[in-house]
Amino acid sequence: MANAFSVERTMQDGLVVLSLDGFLDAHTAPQFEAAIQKEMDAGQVRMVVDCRKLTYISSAGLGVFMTFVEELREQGGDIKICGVIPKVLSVFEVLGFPELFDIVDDVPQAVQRFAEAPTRES
Amino acid sequence: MGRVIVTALLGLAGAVALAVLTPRHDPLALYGYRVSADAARARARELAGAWRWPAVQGPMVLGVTDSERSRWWFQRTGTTRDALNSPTNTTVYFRPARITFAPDGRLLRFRRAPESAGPPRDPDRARQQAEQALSTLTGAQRHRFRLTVDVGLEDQHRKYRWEWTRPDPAQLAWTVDVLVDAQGVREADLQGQLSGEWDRQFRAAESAEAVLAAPMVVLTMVGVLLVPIVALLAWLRRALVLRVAWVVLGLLLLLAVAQAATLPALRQWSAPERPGVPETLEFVLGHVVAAVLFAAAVAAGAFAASGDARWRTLRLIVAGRPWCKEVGRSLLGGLTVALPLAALGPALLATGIVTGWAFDLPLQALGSEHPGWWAVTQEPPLLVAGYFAFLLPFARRWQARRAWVAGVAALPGALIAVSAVPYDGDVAGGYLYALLLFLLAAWAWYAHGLLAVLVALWAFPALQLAATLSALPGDLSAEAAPVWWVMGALFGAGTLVSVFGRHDAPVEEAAEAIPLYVSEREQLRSDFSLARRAQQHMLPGGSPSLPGFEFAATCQPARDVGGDLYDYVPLHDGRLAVCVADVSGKGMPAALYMTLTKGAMVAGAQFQRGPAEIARRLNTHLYAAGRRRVFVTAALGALCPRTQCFEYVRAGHNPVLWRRAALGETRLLHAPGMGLGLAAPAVFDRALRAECVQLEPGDALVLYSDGVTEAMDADQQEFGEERLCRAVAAADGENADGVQQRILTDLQEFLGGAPPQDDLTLVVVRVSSTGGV
Repeated sequence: MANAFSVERTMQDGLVVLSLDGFLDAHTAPQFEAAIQKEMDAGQVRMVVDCRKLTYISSAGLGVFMTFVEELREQGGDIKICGVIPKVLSVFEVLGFPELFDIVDDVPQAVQRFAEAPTRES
Repeated sequence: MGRVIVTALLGLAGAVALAVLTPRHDPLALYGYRVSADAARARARELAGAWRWPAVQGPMVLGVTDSERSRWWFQRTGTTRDALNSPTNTTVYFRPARITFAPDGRLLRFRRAPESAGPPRDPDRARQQAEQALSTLTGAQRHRFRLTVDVGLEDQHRKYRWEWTRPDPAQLAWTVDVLVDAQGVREADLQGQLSGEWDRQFRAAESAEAVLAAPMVVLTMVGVLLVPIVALLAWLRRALVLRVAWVVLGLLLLLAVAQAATLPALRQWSAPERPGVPETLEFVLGHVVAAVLFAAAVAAGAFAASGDARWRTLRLIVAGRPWCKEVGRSLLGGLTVALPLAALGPALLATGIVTGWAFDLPLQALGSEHPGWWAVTQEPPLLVAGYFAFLLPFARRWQARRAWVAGVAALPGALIAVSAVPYDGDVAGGYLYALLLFLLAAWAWYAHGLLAVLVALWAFPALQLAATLSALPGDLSAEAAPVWWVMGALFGAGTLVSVFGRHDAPVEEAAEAIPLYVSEREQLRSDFSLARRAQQHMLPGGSPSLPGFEFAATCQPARDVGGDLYDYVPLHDGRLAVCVADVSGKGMPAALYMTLTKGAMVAGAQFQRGPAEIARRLNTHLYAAGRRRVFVTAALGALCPRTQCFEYVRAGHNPVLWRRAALGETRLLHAPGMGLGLAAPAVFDRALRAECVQLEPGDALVLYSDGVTEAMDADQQEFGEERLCRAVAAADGENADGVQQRILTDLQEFLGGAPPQDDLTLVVVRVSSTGGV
């Protein structure tokens, strides 16, 4: 079953905002990966991932976050997650993501978090 | 074992038939007279000198059977054996000339050359020469012959015929045919023909059937053999073409060497007709074609059908590991089946002679006008080999539908019909022969595999030839000796390998043993099935025993291999640790990471103080070893048989289900924690919290992976934790197996036949109702 997924890129306050829409699983994870890689190649290390329209995430999707976060943090950047719907949030929480990532409510909060604590010790 | 017995019986029957039907016998004892080879040779030289024939090459003496005379002899002597092999004539071959003597030494026929030297110039002189030949042949009976044919000039020669029709129908009617060309008598032939109901024509008559059949045979050959060969070549990877070439070359040499064993006899007989054609070319045409096709059959058989037991021995040989008992047995089986195959011809001929519908059979091996063409189109064994080696495996591989396979299985009927028709004269006999040949080959394939079929079909013409050679008078048994040596050596080799070879390699080992890639997909498939087995072996073999508890567990990967595992680890304080772990992802990468997890857990686990410490050490190992992309979640708990306390940690995994039967409530145990391998030990340790619950008799614990709760049906609904809780609640009072079964049944019903998308793992612990120690 091919589920729809897309990544939309915008800029807000000098930060890259990647808005995820749809299903993030093993089939669609490469799309997400490619989007982050593109930003990294362009020199962007501070990213906000907006999950308001993300309806489902699997371990492959979680793996994408894990793939890049260390490198980004080494370069002084970070991935901050916002707008997660309860169902997806429970998946994050079961895994213990809140220990690893800043998960906030919306993009402005994420922007603020970047100002306060741009990066995080892994 | 039954198959071996049947094959042995068939072999015995064949050997007995061959021995009975093709004995060596002495015409002196039979007829009261004999033409010895030396005498025939001397007399022939004498005659050739007297007739001033051109220089002759060292003559070969051969006794040939004459089927018409055979049946006549049968009528006289009443013995099939004698009739079959009664050498009515002895022929001395000087290529291309030949002189034939009757058993009592009389000159029967002679031929100076197959082609005419030009038309005779003087008709009267030609007639004179012809009558002289008549006298030479008929001797004192000359006056009984009447001239019946004098057609004048025809086809570069003059033809004359004299006939002597005898009143007694049981007696032979004699004819003398003489052909005269510019050099004199080119050919003179004294023939006896059975008159009346015994009279049969056994020439290669251009019957309508034969004319139609020949192109049909060719087409069938093309279809059965060449099309799959082309498909096979197109399908093989480039790297394999070299291997195939190696196989083909090797088998070519092998077959050439083996065929060379029968070469002397064959060569002499096939050459005489065409003095200009070089021997080597004829050999090449005749036998290399057959050899190439056989070799290609071997290669195709080895590659085409993987995993099928009947192709296993070929695969082993091609992989360079022939020293297996199975290979030896297959070889022996093939050689044994070759015996009844070889006896088929003489046996049918003997039956035909007795019953009256005699027909000519291949004893064609004894001579052929066009060996190359004959080998390709006239040889039913090639068609049959092609059927088993090519058509059957390709049919099974490309179309699993039964109707299609049944249709292919019925194709032999057509094969047999087509392969039988070209036989001279009696079509019914040809059909019967082709049918029996196919059935014997099918038995060899069924009982001993494809190698046995190829060996049997290759060996039996040689065996038949050797038996016939041994039976005929003339100094020909020496010619047959090489065949016996080769067969004996093969039989010996087969026995050696069966007795001393390595034990039958199970299918998995055979797959390991073969370094060739049929295709990458093939290799991957076999790798995966090996990996699946390996992974199954890593799981606990049975349920542990812990007083007061029952266990049941299952782990079903979504693909061949999976990223889930469960384990039981006894701790040194008497507790038993139970765990379910899940690697992010599926398939091979997950499975490999799971192996690492298992190793890390088992190493020193029994010395840990509790589940929290196990989890911490696991995290340290995985964090150090892995890249963050892959992570492991685990639910780990320790059961205490004394206190019935369950201490657990939840490392990013699904909560543990706790069914409290006495209270009738189900709880999900959700201690804080995070996945393994994600964070440095400091962060992980901060996040992890061990919790302890007190179990009561009748309680159940279920550790599960998200493959259970996230299983989706056709409407994309998840099974979910609620349904899981309900299933466990409904299984109150049942033992651990019962709970597991209930969960799985409910899950299957929910999925409604859809296959699970993720690895499925369950561990069920039931606290005995009777309580602890």
